[in-house]
Amino acid sequence: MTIAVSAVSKTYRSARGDDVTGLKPVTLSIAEGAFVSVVGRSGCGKSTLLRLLAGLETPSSGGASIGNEKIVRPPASVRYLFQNYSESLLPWKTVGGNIRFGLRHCHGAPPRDVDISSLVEKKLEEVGLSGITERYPAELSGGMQQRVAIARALAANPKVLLLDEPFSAVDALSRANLQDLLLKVWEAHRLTIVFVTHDIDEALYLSDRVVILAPNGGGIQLDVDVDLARPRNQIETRSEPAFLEMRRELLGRVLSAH
Amino acid sequence: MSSSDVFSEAVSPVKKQRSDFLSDSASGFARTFFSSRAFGWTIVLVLLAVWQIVASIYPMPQLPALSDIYRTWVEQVVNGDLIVALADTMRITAIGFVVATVVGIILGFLMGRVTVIWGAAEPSVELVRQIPISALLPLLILYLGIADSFKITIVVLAASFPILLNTFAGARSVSKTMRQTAQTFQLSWLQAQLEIGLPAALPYILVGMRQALGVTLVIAVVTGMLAGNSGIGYYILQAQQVLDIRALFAGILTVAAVGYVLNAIFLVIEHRLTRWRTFSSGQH
Repeated sequence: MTIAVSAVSKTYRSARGDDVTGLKPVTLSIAEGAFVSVVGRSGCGKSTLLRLLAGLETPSSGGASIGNEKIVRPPASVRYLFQNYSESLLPWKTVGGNIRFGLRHCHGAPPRDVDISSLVEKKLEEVGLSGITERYPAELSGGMQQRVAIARALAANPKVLLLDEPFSAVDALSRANLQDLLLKVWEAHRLTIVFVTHDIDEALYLSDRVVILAPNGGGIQLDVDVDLARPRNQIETRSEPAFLEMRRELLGRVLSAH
Repeated sequence: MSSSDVFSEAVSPVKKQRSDFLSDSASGFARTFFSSRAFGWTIVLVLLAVWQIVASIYPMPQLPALSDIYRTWVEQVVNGDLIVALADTMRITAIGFVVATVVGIILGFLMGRVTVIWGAAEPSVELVRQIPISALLPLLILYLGIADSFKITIVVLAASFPILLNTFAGARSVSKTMRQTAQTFQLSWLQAQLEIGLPAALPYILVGMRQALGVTLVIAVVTGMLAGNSGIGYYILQAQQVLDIRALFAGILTVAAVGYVLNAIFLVIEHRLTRWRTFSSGQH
């Protein structure tokens, strides 16, 4: 499903009562099946943009749509992965219970005439977890919790996945594994992904396209295609001259922008 | 209200680690013993032994020996007086507790999750909450007499507020991330309350219920005294009026034991229902 963003902006009212720009008007079209990263400094409005796409915030002006549906509430075909996964997983449910939550509240018809527990196990295997259906989220490491959150989102059979700095709270090695996992499920499920991060390397490694937002909600600063070969590889891709050149270019732009 | 009730409240629902102040100096057994409740039970047993010895050496009517109290207790249990009185109080306690739980959870939860209901109910709840139960007694006796309806009303009034206030806090405790998770998974309002709001509030609800349970028993005993017609409160009052000090103590110790057991049972249920919280401080 194509995501169309047309002149969407967001203005917040500060505690003192004056208007603060969260995001200047942004126009953007994201093709079905694309992997797009949105990058920028803190306060550039990247999370605001993602939350507008998720229907978790209403724009101050303009509008966005997914497929033919105008986004006024969280769209049924979209799932959102939060940075603070531990607050998003249901702590009173086991890992299996969390996956069943995703299956129960899925996009389209819920699975029928299938063995739910084997389906749960399959969803967990897909994210590299098995034999932990009876564990509680708080018993798992951060990386494992985010894997459960991914499996729960996939269980809901989404067409679009929105991720808000999903790997920023996990350690570097787990992060690399999670990135590769995300690429795998993106391909396997033919998802459209919008990925917010402050990490340019991560954005380049994952994406078809990187959108850089100007500081202080300044709107789109740069929108570039990433023509690196797939499948990507943590060592090979990251040492390709094309990767390094783009990294240098984008990092320079982000650091010099004010 | 028994002592474990008070201390469980102090650490709940946020679990704290047991203090470890003895860990460096003491050996394994001493550390386990002195930081467990076995230590406290030993003190209880020592105090009871002192009571027995003192009362045996210096017999006095106002402090009968424990062995005599026990004999009276068995007698009163066998002839049915104590059991009938206790059963009556437990019936008032149970009805009052169930009604207070239903009222407290429904109103507290809705106040926490529906702004209109909060706005409508908060002033009344806050006003009524400030009135000491004792101030309402004359009016309620006037309206309801000294029948069960009076006793149950008093118990419900006293027990509803701990449950209501804790449930309210629990309903407010649902994080923004959790609410938005419900939204993105397309849960309806009702589904969100049933699948997320109530389970999130459950640990708070249980703390409120446990506080209320202690209050309920105390009030049920007092209403028996006030109404002066039945229950263990009336049993104790009667024993005092005929100067049967042994029966008086038998009544008091029975109430203490029942309160302790009720609380202990509730703690087990509470722990079962919130087993997932045990891992809350889990490793990352």
